Amino acid sequence: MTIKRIRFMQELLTFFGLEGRLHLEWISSAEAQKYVQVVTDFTEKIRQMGPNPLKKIDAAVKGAI
Amino acid sequence: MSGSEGNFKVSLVQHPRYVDTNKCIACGICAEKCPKRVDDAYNEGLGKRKAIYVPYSQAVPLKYAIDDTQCIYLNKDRCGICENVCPSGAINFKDTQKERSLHVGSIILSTGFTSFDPSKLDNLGFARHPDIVTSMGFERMLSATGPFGGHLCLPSEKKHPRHPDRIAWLQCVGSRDENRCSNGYCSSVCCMYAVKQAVMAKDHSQDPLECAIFYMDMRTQGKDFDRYVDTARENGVRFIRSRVHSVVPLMDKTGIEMKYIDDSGHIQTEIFDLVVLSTGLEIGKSAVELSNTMGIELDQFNFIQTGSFNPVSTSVPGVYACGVLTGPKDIPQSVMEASSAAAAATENIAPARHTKTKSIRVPQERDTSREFSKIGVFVCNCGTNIGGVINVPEVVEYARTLPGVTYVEENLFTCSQDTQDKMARVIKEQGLNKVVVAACSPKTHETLFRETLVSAGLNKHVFEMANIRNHDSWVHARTPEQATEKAKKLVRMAVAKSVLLTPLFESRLPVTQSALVVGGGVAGMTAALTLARQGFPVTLVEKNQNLGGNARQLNKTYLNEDIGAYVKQLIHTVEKNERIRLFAGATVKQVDGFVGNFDTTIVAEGVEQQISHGVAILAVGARESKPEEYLYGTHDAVLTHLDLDTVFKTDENRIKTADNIVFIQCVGSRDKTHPYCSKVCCTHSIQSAIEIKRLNPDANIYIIYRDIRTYGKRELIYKQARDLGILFFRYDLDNKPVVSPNDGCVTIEFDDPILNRRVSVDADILCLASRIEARDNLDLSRAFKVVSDSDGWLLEAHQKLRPVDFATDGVFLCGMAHYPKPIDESIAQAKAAASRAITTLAQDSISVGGIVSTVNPRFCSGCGACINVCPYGAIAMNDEKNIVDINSALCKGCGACAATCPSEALTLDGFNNEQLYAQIKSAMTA
Amino acid sequence: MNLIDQVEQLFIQDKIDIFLGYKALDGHLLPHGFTRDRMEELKALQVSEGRYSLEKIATHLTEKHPDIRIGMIARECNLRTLNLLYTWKQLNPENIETINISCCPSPLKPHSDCSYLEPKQTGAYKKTHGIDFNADPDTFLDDFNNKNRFSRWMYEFNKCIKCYGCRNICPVCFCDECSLEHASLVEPGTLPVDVPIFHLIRATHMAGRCIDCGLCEDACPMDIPLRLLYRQVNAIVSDIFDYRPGNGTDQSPFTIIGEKTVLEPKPMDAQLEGEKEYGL
Repeated sequence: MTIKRIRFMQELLTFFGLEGRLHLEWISSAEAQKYVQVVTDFTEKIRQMGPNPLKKIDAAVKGAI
Repeated sequence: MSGSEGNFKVSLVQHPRYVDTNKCIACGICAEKCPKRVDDAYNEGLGKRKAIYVPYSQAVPLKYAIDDTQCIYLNKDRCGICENVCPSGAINFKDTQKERSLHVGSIILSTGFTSFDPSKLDNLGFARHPDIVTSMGFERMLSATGPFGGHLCLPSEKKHPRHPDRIAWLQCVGSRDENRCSNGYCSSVCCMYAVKQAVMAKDHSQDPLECAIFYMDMRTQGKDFDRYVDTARENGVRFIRSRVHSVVPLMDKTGIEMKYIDDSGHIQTEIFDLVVLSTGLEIGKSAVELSNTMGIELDQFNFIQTGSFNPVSTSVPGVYACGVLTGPKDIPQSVMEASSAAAAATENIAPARHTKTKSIRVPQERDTSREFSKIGVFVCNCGTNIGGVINVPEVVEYARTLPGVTYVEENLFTCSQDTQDKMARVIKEQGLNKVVVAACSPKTHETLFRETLVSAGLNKHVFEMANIRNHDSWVHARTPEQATEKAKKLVRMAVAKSVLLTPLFESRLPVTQSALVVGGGVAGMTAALTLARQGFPVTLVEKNQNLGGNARQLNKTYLNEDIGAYVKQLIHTVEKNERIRLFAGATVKQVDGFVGNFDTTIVAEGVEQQISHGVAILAVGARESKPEEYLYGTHDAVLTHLDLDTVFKTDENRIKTADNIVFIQCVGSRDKTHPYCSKVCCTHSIQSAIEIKRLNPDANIYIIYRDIRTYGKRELIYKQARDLGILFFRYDLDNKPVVSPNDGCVTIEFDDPILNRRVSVDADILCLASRIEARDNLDLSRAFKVVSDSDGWLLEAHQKLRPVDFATDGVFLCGMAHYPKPIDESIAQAKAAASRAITTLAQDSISVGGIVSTVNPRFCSGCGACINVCPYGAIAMNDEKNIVDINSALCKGCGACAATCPSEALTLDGFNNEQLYAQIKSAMTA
Repeated sequence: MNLIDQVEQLFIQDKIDIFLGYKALDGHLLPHGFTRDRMEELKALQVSEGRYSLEKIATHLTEKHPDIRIGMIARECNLRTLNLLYTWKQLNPENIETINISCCPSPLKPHSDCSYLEPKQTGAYKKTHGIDFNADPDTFLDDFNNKNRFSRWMYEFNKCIKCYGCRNICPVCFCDECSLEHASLVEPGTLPVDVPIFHLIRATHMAGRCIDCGLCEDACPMDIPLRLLYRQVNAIVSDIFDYRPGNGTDQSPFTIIGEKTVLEPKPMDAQLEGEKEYGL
């Protein structure tokens, strides 16, 4: 169910133009290395994608007011 | 060991571990600094560990130990680095062997198995080439905590990791083999684990991976196993029916060559990168010594000798055994036997229950509902574990500035006993009403801190943890400044949530200490009798007028035990037992209530009866299906197994005069519409065939099969059958035998794959191994809020780890209603179900509340979305108010409903939306 | 039998207590509840070319009077709504009588399932900066890249004046407590609205519920192409959960027990183009 729900959210965000910013991975409590790897990879991916464009909007809107 | 049943004196030797488990905080500094590297036995020698180590990452207790065969200090009196670096002073080189003496009523042995060592088999090349590994080794290779971090790499190429492209599995290494080793039995589990490993290996591999499994018979007789195999085959796993005779690493290091004979008799050669030997299960030397010391009878393979009717009893009264120690078996069966052994071992000492129980006294809880938040924050250094990376004083100062915080303290070890005593004192002195501990994982320490809160007069739920060790100092050791910032954020989040924490209350609900057992077959009767002998009243409901179920028709077990006599005796015992109330010809009509407090209406001979009970065991069994093929029902020579068992009992002459007898296996099983194995038929056919040979040695017997699944020690009768001259022919699903009438006989035509010719037999008796099918349990499962799988078998809570529980509390299952199984497994499961039931029945009340979901009736619009997502059947529609009700006795606090509710009418106490939003908000604000 | 006679029969046979239809008032057709006490009003009963969510009125009536029997005019979209409301236990099918009206006598118009609706015209500026009303979710995904989609949606969402019109008209929004009014999610009393949280919440809550009637888009005073958004929501739900809301009274696709999925979590390394620069 989690896979399906997250997949829904991923597709919806893609439609919104926020593709790739949500990720789901199965990691058991025994898989510390995998956890570190996934978090590191995801952090790196987001870094490459650049800052959250929503923050820019937030700032712009606040500036306007 | 001395003494006898009910009164054993046992002396135990506890070997020194040189680490004080009370002091060790499992920080791992000792292992980091230890200079001695040794082969890691847990990783099958594929990786290294230190001389001071935790055997594996989920070890309980999670404490270090020193390997005294390897430690430099213990062997050469040098080094001692671990003692110097240990922050809690836990190392004790003077630790000695301790002897302990115990006075007990019963003993359970569960020492398990060792994996067969294939280095004695020179034809398989193990230990001569690193890329030939055992299945245990491969299991470790796939594991994220294993030697390669879960990456599928060839062990031969350590420096430049290379992924294998082709992997082969060789089945039956050290099993079903009396020539190269003396393990004549089948290890039962290897086929399934090899398929699982192949599927997982494909999963792990980014490039296309070729997987091939070389096998003799595919023995995947467990629940849902055949489906798994079918899926694996569809996903490209190759299955090759052949026993590989030699495995040769190529001289030019380009791979490992395997030669085998294919189905058509031709020699084939293939090259693989990695070869996995599916090694069998056997009993280790020390387990044999232990059994010998205790005077327990073993069989020819050193398994503990047990009987089908007492699957967990050893030859010594009062000593029980479970798991592979009594014969090869998989996880669910081992888990069942474990519960079963617990029930058997406590049967005779049941009156002693609770006689040594002590209860703790807790102070009156302080009412904090009218107070402002006074939050105390305790920041732990965890020796140098946290303090070595994070600037703890800085975090402490930061915590002081957070709203609601009135007290902050830094501890060396917050979890140590003296700090706990101090914490309780501080809570009282400072009048704290909420506590945040910034330390390690709530998984290991939350309970401890909560106890301290309770001892200081606070509700245990006004507590929150910030994990600044596992989530912070351990993973960000190289960037201490950022780690300190993260620690502040984690503390800030915990404080933000704790402001909104409210006390949660638990109440006690009384338990009706009696049971209802539905189904009076062998499983149901065994469960009822087990409960009754443990002192609990039981209501046994049987649909038919007679007890006994399918077993009444059965003849003998594969160990040649007389089932009829056993069932007769069992019925007699059940009927005589005064704690068992028997309702024959009765069915369950309606079930109200929940764990501890069921109210069930049964209808017995047209009269309704109300039964109050605390737990229920469903043992409604299954039935032999009536085949619709092979002339069954139209020709008298065609019988099913149960028909043939009746012939044995009533018409021996028919067997004695028969010339040709044919068995066809998998009739209606393992096909498209019923893709499961009926598990018992191979053994049943062979057992019957042997019995026929005994009565009529001149009879020609033919068994036409797809895979012979005589798993475990049943393999012995397969061998016996072949020795007796019983002939076996294999057929495929797309080339089934053809049966046609021929006067008093039937003619069976089929292809013999070895002769590669069509063969025909005129049989006087044709016995069909017809499918075992589930009964229609729809009404029953609705009443008890349990579910069936797509084949109709009742679905347990967890197929491996909770094989007799339902997801719904207080309801248990056993026998063939779960899946087809032989009588010994039914009995083991029945005792296990009773054992699980006793965990509820032995309490006079159950705790209700705490972290559970609650519904706000004002917000609920009665859409019922939450009812389907609740895995525990705890939510029901209140038709009067058109909103839902949550039964907090059944709620486990998973929160699925709260996440589903569109209008946030449902909240999980202790994790409500406001608390979570506060945490998120606190994390996001810079 | 014409519409008015049919309704009369329902009253005579005592099958309903109230009938929901449309009645002209000052030249406008407005929803109206016809009752047995005022049968003479039935003469004014009409089928409206405009649409209103009669089911919403029915839901409110049922909430107050659980046993009330309601008759109503039902188009295709109304029938889908009713199915959904039966599924979610907001209406009892035994208490509802419908008089079905086929509203698609002519070939479907490009934009709408409903022939009464004229396709919307999209202005030139909206076409270059925002989103064409008549776009199809698939072509929208194909035509624009991630960055472009983002900026177009943000153009649309930023116009939102948080009037709650989309929710108020929505026939399947029946919750007593609405997440869009949760102070911790949507800050009350401020504009512009929290973008895109407001619309994202509504979109996720439409999953498994939206029956694609298009009333939200009709109601939106700021011309946000909401129907396109929820059509994509429906497409995803249909792909992933194999569930089409309103298409029968099957239970919701959200369950945990016995759930088996062949779906795998999405791999992380999906390569994206034009990610670095998001325009506003």
